[in-house]
Amino acid sequence: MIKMFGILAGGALLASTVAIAQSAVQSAPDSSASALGKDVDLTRGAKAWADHCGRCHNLRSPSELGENAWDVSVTHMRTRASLPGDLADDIKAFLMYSVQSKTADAAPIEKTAAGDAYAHLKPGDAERGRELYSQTCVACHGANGEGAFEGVPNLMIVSGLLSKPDEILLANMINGFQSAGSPMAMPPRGGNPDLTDQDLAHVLAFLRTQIEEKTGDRRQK
Amino acid sequence: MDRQRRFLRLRCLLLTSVGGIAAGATPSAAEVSQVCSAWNVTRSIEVLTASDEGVACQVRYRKPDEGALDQILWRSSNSVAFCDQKAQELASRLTAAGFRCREGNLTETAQRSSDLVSTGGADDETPAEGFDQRDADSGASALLAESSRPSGRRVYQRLSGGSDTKSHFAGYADATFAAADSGDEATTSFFTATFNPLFLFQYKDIVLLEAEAEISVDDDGETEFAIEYAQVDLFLHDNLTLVLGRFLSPVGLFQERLHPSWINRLADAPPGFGHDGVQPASELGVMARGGVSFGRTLITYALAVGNGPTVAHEGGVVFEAGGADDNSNKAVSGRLGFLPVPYLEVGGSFLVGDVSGVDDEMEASPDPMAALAPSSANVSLWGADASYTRGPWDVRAEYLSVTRDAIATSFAGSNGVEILPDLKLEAWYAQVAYSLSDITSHPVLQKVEPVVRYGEYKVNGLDELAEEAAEKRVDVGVNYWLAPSIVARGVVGWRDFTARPAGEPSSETRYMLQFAYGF
Repeated sequence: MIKMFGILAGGALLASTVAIAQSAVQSAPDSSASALGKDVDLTRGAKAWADHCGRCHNLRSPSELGENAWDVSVTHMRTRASLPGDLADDIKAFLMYSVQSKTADAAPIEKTAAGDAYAHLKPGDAERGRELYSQTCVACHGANGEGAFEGVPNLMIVSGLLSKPDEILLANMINGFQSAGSPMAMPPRGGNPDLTDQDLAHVLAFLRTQIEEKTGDRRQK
Repeated sequence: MDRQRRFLRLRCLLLTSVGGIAAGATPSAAEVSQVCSAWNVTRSIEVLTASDEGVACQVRYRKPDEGALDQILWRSSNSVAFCDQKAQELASRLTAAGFRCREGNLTETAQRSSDLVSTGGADDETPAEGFDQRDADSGASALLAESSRPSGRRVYQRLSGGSDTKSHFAGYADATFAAADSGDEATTSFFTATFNPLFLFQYKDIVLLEAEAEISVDDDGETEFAIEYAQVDLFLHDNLTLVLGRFLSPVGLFQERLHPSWINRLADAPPGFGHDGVQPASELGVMARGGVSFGRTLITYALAVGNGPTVAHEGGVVFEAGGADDNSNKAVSGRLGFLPVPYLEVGGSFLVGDVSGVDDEMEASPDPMAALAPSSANVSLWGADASYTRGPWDVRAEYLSVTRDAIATSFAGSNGVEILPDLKLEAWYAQVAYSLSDITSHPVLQKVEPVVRYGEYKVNGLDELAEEAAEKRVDVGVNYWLAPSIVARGVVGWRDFTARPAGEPSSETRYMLQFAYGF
């Protein structure tokens, strides 16, 4: 019984391997569509990275590896952790975007004779910040800023992280930041290089209003 | 240098010409740009000179193909050379990242790129008035185009280009010191070291080759080399991967996912879960595996067909992949995992197969006429595992049970082929680790992680194996994480050998110090 089942199962797997592999190679996408050029979800990728990679081991900073290395490494983990391919692609995109932010986009604004490094930014628009927050930051920081999962710092603690000056917070948001006690680092621009400095200023304005409302609520109570 | 000189010369020419045209006008502005392209992504770096008070120049960075808002990266109140230098530095970084940069105008290139990628956001207007204009036009159009996509979804474009074949060198290494105190015997101590290089080669999104070796120096000072796995992964579908070759067994969790020293929370394997234990380490054959997600819920599966287990030297069962099958029966094994939420996983595993007895001439029977012929026996395994990995908690438990029917075989110490009775092996452990990072932000304490584990390995039906391996063990350890994949740890293990004959030490206290690095 076992012998017959084993032979049948093995034969079926090998036959399907050859047939499907042949089909896959013939319809192989060109390299520009390989993990890249695919429709991916950075927000889902950020969350899946924290959720699934953290199941077995500590989370490494996205800046530890380059784009190609993350591409191959996540492919390796797709097999090991039995991750669906689309989920692995989202994780890849998040990590590779984070690397891009670090290597090419994160050109720091340097202080000049003009003074404040962010003096050129307009005052943050909290409503615009709310919109941007809900598109990117919410994946890790949660809808209320208190963290979507364990290990993400609570931003809504009065006299907590948001008590720092705007310039420091903006620098952390732009360049990435490792909070004390957090197992994972926030990648530059939250892993979304599309966010400009002005966008981050909007997000910061939104967070400021949130914590002010929270403080107000407490005072009323 | 030539490139920089050309760049500066062009800026001067443009300044001259634009300045001439705009002579007499109040705010004079000039633009010099480099256009950098990789695949179908085009970016521009522009040095803007304007007459705004207190601003001599600005460097604008534009990524119209990617739907990004324009950025002013640098500005200077008194030195245009500063902006020129910064623009050139950024161009050099993009070149290093795989872009090709040339002097030129973004407008026509951006239009061509927007035909290739429908991300939108290409800005046809010349930003003659400096950064104030960017929020008004290009930014708004970019955001409009982005918001027309499903929430959060974007087309990812590789920055560094991409070859069809990519490779990555990873792995881990550790060095361990262990001292064992058996009470009435002298304390023994030894150093061991392992180095496990992992080579990965990927062709497009179709194939991944994985090979991991283990090079180790054991407690006898001998250097050993072994192939942990050498496999080909064929990605046939988002939910189906076919694995061929020698691969880590999908049965249970520890051997496949947790055994690397930088992942394992303690310095050694739980009783019965090591290389010579009851948990299958590797298999040689073919495996289908994958996962299906429903929101945050994930179901994973793995089904393998391979050469299967063999009879061990002492008469037990070896679950290591061999080069040749000891019989024509293929072993079938697998695991089904269920994650209702990502931090909670439960799984069930199985293996069924046969082992064939051996007739070792070195253990020849004294009476050849009365010698037994080797026989085959059924081996079956089932197991269950559970993991809770939320925030600072890492809680795991695994159970495995193996039965092997009676078998006629020769083994160490036998007189030729003898009949071994039914064999039953059981192993389980439960482990809890807690990272202090959740309760303190102290720079040292937050990297500390206490761990405790209890495990048992039971052997019934083979006294020699029971005397050597059956035990109950408590391990208590402390991890200090220097980095997410670098750990120094200390462990104390109290071991009770439950089947040792009288006169031999029945307990041992083992102290271990280990440094592990995953790279």
